[in-house]
Amino acid sequence: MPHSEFVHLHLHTQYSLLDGACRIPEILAIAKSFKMDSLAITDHGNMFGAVDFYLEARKAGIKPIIGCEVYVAPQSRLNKGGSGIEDAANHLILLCRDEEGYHNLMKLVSIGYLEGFYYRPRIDKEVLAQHAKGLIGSSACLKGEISQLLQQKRFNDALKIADTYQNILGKGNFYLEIQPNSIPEQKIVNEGMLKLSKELGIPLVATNDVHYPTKDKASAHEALLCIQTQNTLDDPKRMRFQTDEFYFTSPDEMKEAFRHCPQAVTNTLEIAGRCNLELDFSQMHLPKYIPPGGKNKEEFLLELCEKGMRQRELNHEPEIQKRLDHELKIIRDMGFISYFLIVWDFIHYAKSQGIPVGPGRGSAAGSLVSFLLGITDLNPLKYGLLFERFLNPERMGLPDIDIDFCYERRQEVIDYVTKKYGQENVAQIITFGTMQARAVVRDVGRVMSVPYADVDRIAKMIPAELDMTLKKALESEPELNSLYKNDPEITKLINTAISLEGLNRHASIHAAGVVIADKPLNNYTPIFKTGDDQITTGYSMGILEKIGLLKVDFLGLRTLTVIDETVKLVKKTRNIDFDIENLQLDDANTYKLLASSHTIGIFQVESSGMRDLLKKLEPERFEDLIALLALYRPGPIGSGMLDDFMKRKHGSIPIKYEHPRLEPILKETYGIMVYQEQIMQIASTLAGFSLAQADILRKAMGKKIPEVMEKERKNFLTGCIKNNIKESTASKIFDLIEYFSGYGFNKSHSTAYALISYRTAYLKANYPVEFMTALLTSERDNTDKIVEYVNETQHMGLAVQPPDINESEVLFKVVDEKTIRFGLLAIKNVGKLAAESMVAAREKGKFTSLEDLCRRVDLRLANRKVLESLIKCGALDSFGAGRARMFAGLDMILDGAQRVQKERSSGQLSFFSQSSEVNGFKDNTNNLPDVKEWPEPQLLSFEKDMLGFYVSGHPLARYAKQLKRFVSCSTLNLHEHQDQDTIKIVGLIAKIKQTLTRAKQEKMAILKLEDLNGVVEALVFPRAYQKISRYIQLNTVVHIRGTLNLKEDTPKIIVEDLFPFEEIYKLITAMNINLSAIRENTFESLKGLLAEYRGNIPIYLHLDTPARSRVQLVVGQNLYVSPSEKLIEEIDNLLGEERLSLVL
Amino acid sequence: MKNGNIRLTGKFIDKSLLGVKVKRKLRYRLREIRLFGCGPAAVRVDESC
Repeated sequence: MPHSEFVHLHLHTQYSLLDGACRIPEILAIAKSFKMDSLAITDHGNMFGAVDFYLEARKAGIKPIIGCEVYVAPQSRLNKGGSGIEDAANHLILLCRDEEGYHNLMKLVSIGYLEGFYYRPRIDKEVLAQHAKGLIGSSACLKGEISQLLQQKRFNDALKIADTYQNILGKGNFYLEIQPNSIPEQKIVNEGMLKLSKELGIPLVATNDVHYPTKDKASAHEALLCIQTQNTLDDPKRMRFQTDEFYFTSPDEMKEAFRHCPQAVTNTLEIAGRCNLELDFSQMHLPKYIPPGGKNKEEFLLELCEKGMRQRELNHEPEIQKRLDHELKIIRDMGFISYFLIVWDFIHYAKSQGIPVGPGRGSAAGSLVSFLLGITDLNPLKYGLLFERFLNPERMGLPDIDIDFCYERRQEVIDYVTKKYGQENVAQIITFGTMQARAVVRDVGRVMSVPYADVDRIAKMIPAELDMTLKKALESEPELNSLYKNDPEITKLINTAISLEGLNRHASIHAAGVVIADKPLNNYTPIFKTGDDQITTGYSMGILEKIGLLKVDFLGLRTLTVIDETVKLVKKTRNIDFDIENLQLDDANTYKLLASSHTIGIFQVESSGMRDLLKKLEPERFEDLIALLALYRPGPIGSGMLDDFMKRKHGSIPIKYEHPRLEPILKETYGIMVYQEQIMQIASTLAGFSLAQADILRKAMGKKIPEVMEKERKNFLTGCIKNNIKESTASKIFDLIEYFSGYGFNKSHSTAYALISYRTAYLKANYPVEFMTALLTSERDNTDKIVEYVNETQHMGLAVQPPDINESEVLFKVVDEKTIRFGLLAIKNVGKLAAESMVAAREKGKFTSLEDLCRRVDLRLANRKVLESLIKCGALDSFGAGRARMFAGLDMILDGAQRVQKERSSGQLSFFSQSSEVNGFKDNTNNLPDVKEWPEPQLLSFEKDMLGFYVSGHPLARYAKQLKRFVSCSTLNLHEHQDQDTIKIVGLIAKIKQTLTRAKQEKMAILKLEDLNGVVEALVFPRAYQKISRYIQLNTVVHIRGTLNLKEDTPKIIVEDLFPFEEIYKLITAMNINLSAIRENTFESLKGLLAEYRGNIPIYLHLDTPARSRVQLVVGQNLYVSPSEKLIEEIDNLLGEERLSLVL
Repeated sequence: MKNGNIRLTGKFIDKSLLGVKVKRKLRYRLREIRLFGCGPAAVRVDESC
């Protein structure tokens, strides 16, 4: 087949972040349709997409040319002055001819980020000259240095620079680019290039600076640029391309455009022919682990296993020895001894430093060697975990070891690894955030200036599901589809969003991945530097694995910190020592707690769905917990597998097995195939597969490729028949495997995580106060979580005392077995150093007053803001001065205290001379201004600001008694009502979001309403809003009448009427008083009382008659009343509570 | 009105219209009626409870 006479050598993929709109597979397909046999990738300043492009192109039968459009600093890359982004750098295209060129390009790109970054990652001619071998260059777009000079009519300078590049790259390795777009400057540049070419003999090359696949995508690309520059499309000053021609032009279009210069077009083929890079993916670049004492690696590994056997108290039982030998053989054969030793080494380091390490994660828990080395804490034989699920000799590639470390000390382990293997050999890994369905609609909506409320509404119509796309959403959501079809603005919005959906949006650091190599990393991957100067690889995780680098996930897991802290607290408060790693897994208290579903704070089972499930499932043994974690996922829930599991557990469905040999494998999960390991065991036991083959079967099942499945079915049936299992039975079993394999979960992971769940549940059940203290401390920066856990602590019957400067420690502390004291660090604005300095200063004696405190703490750390926060949250209440007075006097006291501290530090005052008279202080609170204490709502509001919740009361608490007369429900029991019921509720407006409706642009509001029991969302639509908007104010207590909406996950109230609770008495239209069985001599007093509160609201009296009839009387108009809290209170006092009811 | 009972009509009725039997039923409450100055249309009797 003849190939095209032109190929693109200047092309930006989506890795030119928020600039290139070409998806790699899409442009490869276009290239193929144009019969191009080669294609280049030249992203801006980076090589993020290089390997991905290389592999995809190879797959498509196209020769990949790896390149980059680098930024070149006008002078030195180290010179970072200048007038801004416009003058920071010029562009230059570099393409790799061979492996040397590839390595040089990686180095150049890395230098750009590490040394030359100024707005852009910049190199300069100096480093280009050092790394020019194997590269071909071309003069790039209008932003190229030569193009710029030509535009400035500085032909001689252009000549000089072109010559310089030719000299740097070598004769024949530099080309002058001409492009066919219609931008006026391009015409000048093209003409100039032709002239230069003639004068210097530098060849020309035709390119089109491709940024998007087709011409019709130019407008979507404009939107993409606006997302990058945070502009809107209607902004006349925004950065824009002046043409819609930067698309993947066809060879014919290029030939036509450069009819006058055909050589420029054919030169693309000449260049492509010279670029022949072959990347080698067969090598691993593991760092070398050198065992101590000159031992060889294998000996050392065996030694460690032996030591592990003793520590784990395992005897050399035949079963264990056999498994160990088997695993060691595979590890040796696959060349992974170093790998295990490297992992062992840093885990060993972490443990030796007291850094908590998780019991395992992912499939590594299936390895006995891992268990013996202390990499995991689970004996795989005990739980039926399989080595082949982790390391399969028939599947090459490094296995995954992901490790959880204490959240706060993870960095110490990374630092250790960095130090051990060398700074340049270790780095964190880049990751790309992509524009997902909802986010891209929001981004595009913004740049198109669509009102926020509309964009928000459309975005919310897109289901929040994993792997959701706009196309899927249009199919599944009729409302969205109808808007899309009928509203031209929405059509445009969604079409543009679809064009951009899935493109990369930004680069950041992978949360956990660290890569470790045997040589400096820039030999294998370009290096990238983030906006905040963090250094990462320039290739993402998947690519690094492909090029043979060792990647380890160092994950930070908060729960490990909580467990560790709890154990330490138990030792401190109860002097009980226990080994959390060797707990018996049969503690009755723990299972009781799990079954009770009071599992807030317990690892993996604290969500409300999980808690419901625990209640239903009532786990009684560790295996139930493992299954629970495996089953609580959308697949098993949606398919009814979870229900089935529960019914079988509780005996309402009989458990039966297709074949008796399935029973030992499936018994622990009541006959259901829950785990991938079970599927592997079935294939092995019934059909005689090796475990390695069984693992291949498991993987094939997951992918569901029909031909492979058919082949596997045949193998399975043949194997079963050999083992005397009837073909029909075998076929049924295979069907079951096929069905369940879609939902099967990795048991190794589930078991390891269930162990963490068990440990936390054990601690909560047996050492509740210590556990909750550690939990609160771990979440000290997250106010929402603190609020949740303080509530939980109280529900558990424990008390959380508010912060107190003389009692609180830095962190939460255990006071006694029923009480926790709030830590200073959890108060807003109080930092670690401030809290520590105050606690340290207190060692010399408790603080006696605000002045005393200010004089003794380091005011540079415990500054004004800190002290204000302490006053506001009530932590200084024990001084007895009143918060408002302390607040008002703070400035004065700080002035004096600062003077004293200054004098002390300059030696004018001895540290011990603190006598107040010396400093002109009078150490008593009378010095404070005499102001009235803040009113209760203010006090409470400050507490909430500083701590996240109310301490000395709740704004609603003072109404608690009255509330019940005015409400029909609370946030707690909304679910007991029916959808569309009219309800009355009282609550505090905790948050207000004002917005506009889409259709008519009318104002509406979304309120977060909080009562003593919880929160609920209340929607005020325009009609109601007009009526009541004046009452919608933050932190006011309001009475709401509205309709309940229970259609969504969380109940909502559609507000019909809203009124400040303070004025609720104005809403009363009548009062009923029940006088049944009230002694008649009270009636006179009642009459007197009513007369005192004269008004125009009638009173209805309810009386009994001896004939069991009930009589209702309306009092005379002269006894009509004006209702108030006081009147109601007095009626209650006179007649007893619950005699009075109000009509609103 | 039936057998001297008053059906619950939801409306208040003039006490002067009450039948003898009803008045008898209410005789224990006439004091209250007087005490609270209940006007002409001020009584409702619910026989059903």
